[in-house]
Amino acid sequence: MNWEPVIGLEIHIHLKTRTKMFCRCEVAYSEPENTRTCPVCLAYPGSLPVPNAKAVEWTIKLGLALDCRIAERAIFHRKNYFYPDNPKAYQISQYDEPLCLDGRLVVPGESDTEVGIVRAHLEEDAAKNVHLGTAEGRISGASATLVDFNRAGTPLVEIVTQPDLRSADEARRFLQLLRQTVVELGISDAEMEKGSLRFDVNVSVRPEGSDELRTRTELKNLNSFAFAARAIEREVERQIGIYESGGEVEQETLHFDPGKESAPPLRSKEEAQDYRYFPEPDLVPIEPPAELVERARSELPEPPGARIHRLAGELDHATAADLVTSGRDSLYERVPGDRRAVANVLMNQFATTGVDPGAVDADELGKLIEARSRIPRDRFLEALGKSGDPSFAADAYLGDGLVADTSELEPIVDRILEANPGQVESYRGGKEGLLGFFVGQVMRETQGKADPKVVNQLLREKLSA
Amino acid sequence: MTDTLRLTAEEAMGLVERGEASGAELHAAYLDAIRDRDGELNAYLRTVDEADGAGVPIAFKDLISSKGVETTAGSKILSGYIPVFDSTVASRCREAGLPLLGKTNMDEFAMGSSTENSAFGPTRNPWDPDRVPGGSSGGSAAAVAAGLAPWALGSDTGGSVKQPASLCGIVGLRPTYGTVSRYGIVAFASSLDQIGPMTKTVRDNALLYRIVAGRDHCDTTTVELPEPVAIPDREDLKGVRVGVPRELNEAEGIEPGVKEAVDRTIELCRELGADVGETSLPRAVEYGLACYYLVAPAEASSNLARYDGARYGLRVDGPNVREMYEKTRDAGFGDEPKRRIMLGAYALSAGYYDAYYGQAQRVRTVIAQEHAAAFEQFDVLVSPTSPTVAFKLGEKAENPLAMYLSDVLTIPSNMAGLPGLSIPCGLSDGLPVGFQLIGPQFSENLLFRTGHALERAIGFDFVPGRLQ
Repeated sequence: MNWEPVIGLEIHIHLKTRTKMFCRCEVAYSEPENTRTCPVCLAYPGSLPVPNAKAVEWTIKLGLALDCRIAERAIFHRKNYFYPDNPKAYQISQYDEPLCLDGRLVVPGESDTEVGIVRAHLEEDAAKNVHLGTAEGRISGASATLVDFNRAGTPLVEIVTQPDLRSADEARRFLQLLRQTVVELGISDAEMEKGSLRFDVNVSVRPEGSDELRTRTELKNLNSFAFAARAIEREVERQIGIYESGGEVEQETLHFDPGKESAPPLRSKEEAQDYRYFPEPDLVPIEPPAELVERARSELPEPPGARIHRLAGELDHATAADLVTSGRDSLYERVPGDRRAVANVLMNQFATTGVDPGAVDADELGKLIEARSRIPRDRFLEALGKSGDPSFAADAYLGDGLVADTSELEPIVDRILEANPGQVESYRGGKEGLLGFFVGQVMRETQGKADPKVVNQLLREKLSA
Repeated sequence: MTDTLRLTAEEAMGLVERGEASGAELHAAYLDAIRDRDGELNAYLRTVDEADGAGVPIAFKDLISSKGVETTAGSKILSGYIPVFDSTVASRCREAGLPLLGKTNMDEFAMGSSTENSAFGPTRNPWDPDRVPGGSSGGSAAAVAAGLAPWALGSDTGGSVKQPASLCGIVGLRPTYGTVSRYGIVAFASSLDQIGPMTKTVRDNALLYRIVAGRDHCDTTTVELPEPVAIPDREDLKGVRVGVPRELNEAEGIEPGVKEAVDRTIELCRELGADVGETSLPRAVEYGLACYYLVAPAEASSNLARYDGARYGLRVDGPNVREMYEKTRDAGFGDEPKRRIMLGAYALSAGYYDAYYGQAQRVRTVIAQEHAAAFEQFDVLVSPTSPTVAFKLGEKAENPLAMYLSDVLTIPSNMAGLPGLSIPCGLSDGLPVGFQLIGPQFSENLLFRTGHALERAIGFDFVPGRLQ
């Protein structure tokens, strides 16, 4: 029997507003512990939440970018539970009347995948617990737990998808596209390392062709898209293995160790927690004015998915998606020259430089890429590294540093030919493929500084003499 | 030496304006009075020695945060908690130059109708120290009645300003929900809590309401007052349509002496020129109390969850965090908060939410609609504030349901978010009877006008006989 994975995602994104969701503390990531706090985010008696209007507006923007319906009336609810990182003992979240509903995001591919968005809602993040006494900072075996409230109250958007994804790779591509969408809206850094993008994955499998939904497991603490894709693949195989040996998959949560990918996940049974949700009486309903929604709609940038489609016409889908989701597609479109060559350089060598694509003079970069075969590898990388400098000019690297002077190269060529009489004989006997061997020898001798064009020419002349 | 027993806030203001007494002198005079008389009453949990402000001093119920002054809400779980910020009402009083006299006793987290639920001992009624002052703002009521504060602020969730005002023979306003900021007020039930002035006269009440009311950007449930607060001076009730809701005036448990004083006052309304007629609030009274005891505990169960020993107040250590929570909350909360937390958590649980909390919210809408219908015909509705005069300490302490019935007449309009004013309207067996005036939203000016005219006509002596 063929099995089909059924995958759904729950994504949390920090909004990069200047201040927190319900108070005026600055949103901070690397400040000393507990220096961005106030009576509201520490839940002092009598403190009250005041919603961040920017966060509401940005959530609406995101909802529109995900083709959601924006609720005319949304309500904050209290989600009640005790935990040290939850100072009020309730999280202000949204429950049955979220801001954004029923959206979709199309993941471009050979055939497009439409992923339904159940909802996108606004809530506040918890504080950060720091467990002492264990090397990994995990709670089991910890001798004490300290709480850093800097993060408490950071605006957080939760996006829940339909279980519409059918492979680990599709899930990875969806996440990359969603991340890029969010980044381009300018509402979040969406950086996993920083914790401003987190996600959980629900995985189940079913016989291909069936539309049943079998027991799912939840994968938590996945700290990169690639790791997530591998973890999903393993989980899919595990579940298939269970069914094929006549077993049943149990509903459970798999907690991965973000510090150690190879570590097997900790398993826990899902406890049916009763959060005793009820409408937050300290806040009035959010009723986004139609003008605000329409203005946000009119300000939406061209969605990344559309650009992937456009670029896939001249490249392939994977490369187009890579360019777009890495934020290098607009540079790609500006740089003149062979499309595939430009795409390859941007996705490989250029990617390693960390240069801001927006700062690059595209024409100069085009010249550089055009001439790349004539530039030694190290020099080419060095040039790419400087391509964002305002004074960058490709000319400085074309030829410069390359020895094209025949009087300098001729003795070296002669020496190489003398040292390899056998190869010279074979070449002259018709094995012309050996030319590359001689070129390589010259390049090695000159530490790559010889102009390959000149070397080729010299060698041909001498060998045919 | 100023005689604080009889001095109204308005008179005290006059003394300050004419330079006959400074704010600091008034403050000192009240502190002297507190030293003299509060040993018996226990109206104050703590006093503030230094007068911070040149105006008429004021007392705050102990759930109003005042920067640097311990605030316990009558609970052991908050003992030692010193707010690092002013509540909005505290800062408005500070801006108005009112120096703080101290923090007054209350039922723990405002849960109670007698102030016997305070973790710091009960407050006694200045009219008869064997009796309760009402609650939960019993400390503020007793302080004003006994001349230990010219005016005070209380808070009213189910009747906690109106009922103690009634039992102590003073004036208490529960304002329209949303007119006074709750920022910095230790929360009991957020959708019902309102801060209200407690004073000797209706004019004092309007003066204090004017200081504290108005929109606050720190409390998004507040609104701007539709019209400025008017200090009442008319002595007639011409053109005022007074409705007498049958169910509120004939409820079971209303003492004959209370009924008599209230009926006399209704007659007085007529004499002052009001059009008096009968009306009905059938479901508001029948279901109000039950509805309240689902909504208020539900919100309380969530509001009180933050007292976990981690950040402030009491902490009882345990081997792990769960046990720290349990031990802290077990030792820190008294019986009434525990009872209501359990009740509230139950009403919110999955599978019960719709039948309890959800249903209560729907009933609340019905109650509001019933009041709105009555206000199509009448400008104010009147009734006794409390079915009884002050009862004896211990009389209802062991019977929560009997205690809950103390608020049966104040709760319905509170559930509808409406303002209510209680004024003393006479004595029954030597103890004050309160007259409740209920108006539509934002009708405080009309309540003040009506209350003031009646107050003049009644001529109630607010100084307890035994202190004269």
